[in-house]
Parts: sequence; C-alpha cells; structure tokens
Amino acid sequence: MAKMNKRIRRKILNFVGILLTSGMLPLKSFAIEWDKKAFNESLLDKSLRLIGAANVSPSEKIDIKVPQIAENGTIVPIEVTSKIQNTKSIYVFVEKNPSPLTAQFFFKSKTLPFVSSRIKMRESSRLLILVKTSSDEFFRTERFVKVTIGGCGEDA
Amino acid sequence: MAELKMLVFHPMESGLRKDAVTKELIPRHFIDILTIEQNGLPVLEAHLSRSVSRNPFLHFKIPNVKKGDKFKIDWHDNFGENGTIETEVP
Repeated sequence: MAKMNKRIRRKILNFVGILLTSGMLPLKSFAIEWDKKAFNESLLDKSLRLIGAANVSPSEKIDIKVPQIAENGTIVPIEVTSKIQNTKSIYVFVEKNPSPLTAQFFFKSKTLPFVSSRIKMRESSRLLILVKTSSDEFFRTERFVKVTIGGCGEDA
Repeated sequence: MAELKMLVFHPMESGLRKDAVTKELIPRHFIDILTIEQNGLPVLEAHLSRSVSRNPFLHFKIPNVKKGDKFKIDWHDNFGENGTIETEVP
C-alpha cells in the first residue's frame, strides 16, 4: 500500500494538450505583477532597471542547466533551480534577443522554485537568471551560450 | 511531489519571421500569460514572451499532490486568444 502511494506521488503528469482557442474571452488570471514594460524593452539594462534590479550581486545558489553550444537557436533547453529561501519568482533574460526579458515564473503556494523550458536565441549571448524573493530582494547568475544557427527570424 | 510537464501548441511568432510565399513579416503572436491551479488554488503563473520556443514546453515541480487532485491550466496570448485544459491526478 505504501509502495502504491509512493508511486502515485511520483506519478508524472503529462499534459500534451491540444488547447483550443475560444475567441476573445476576458483574461482570467491572478496576474497582478505583469511587467509588460520590462517585457517590451529592447535593451537588457533598461529592462533590468524597470524591474528594479539594476545592481544585483551574483549568487551561487541558482543552478542553471543550459548547453554551452546550442546548435539550433530556435530550441535552447534551459533548466533553472533556485536554492534561495523564499524565492518568489525567476526571470530569464537573453541579452542579445530583440526583447531580452524572455520569461518570468511566479511560484505560488508550495511550488518548488524550479522551471525547465525551451527558449529562442537570436545569436550567441549572455543568459541571465534573476531570482526575486518574497522580500523583493534580487539575486542573479549568468552563463554564455554560443549559438550556431540563430533562432528568431529563422523557421523553427 | 508531482512533476508537471506540458506542451502547448502555439506558433509563438517572434514577428521577425517572413512568410515563405508573400515574403512579408508574420506578426508577433505569442502566449503572454499561463496560469496553473491545483484544486482551484494558484500554484504557478508564467509570463512569457516571443522568445519562448514554438509549442512551449514547460516543466514544474509541485509538492503535496495526491490522487484525485484537479489541475487546471489557462493560457492567454497577445491576440486575446486563450485556452484551458483540466486534468485529474490518476
């Protein structure tokens, strides 16, 4: 019985969702901190200033898994884990992309400060990860990713 | 602990790609917000951009998941289109 419960707990949920679009329904969201301006900004420094993270010192408590060389810039796998206490959100920035702020993830309830996804990179660039805590403190870490074939204007 | 993995079918157009036939730029079209609820309570919110790959793949880790829990994912894009999917933990 205990074994079975463990199996259920470990069960991996796989959603391969064919999500149908359904017209212009209002956005149902708890997005109270949607930083549209920072997302639309084309310069990394300005975007960082807009989120209030212009001067942030590096932290070793953020783990990033990204390839050193990405052959295809349309699909660059990225995995981030924050070991910083009270991580509220994780930001992903690609310095050389037309809009550097790529994604922001808010961890609600007890969701672990972990995310794995796939992003586009136009060219070789610095990749910056910022962590914001519930007391609005920022931490950062970065990697350089070399891109062989760029991934913004190309066909995926 | 449950690992929540999803693949959302969406073009995620950057606005920089040209139509192969007309040679005109294809307008930006991307998911900007995706939310996840567990039994009606928010567990995650993602703000995305045109820099996320086509057909976004997302993977999260959620503790305290038990059989019968209901997960609901909603997404919204910059055209105002949206979609939702619900599933129950088997």
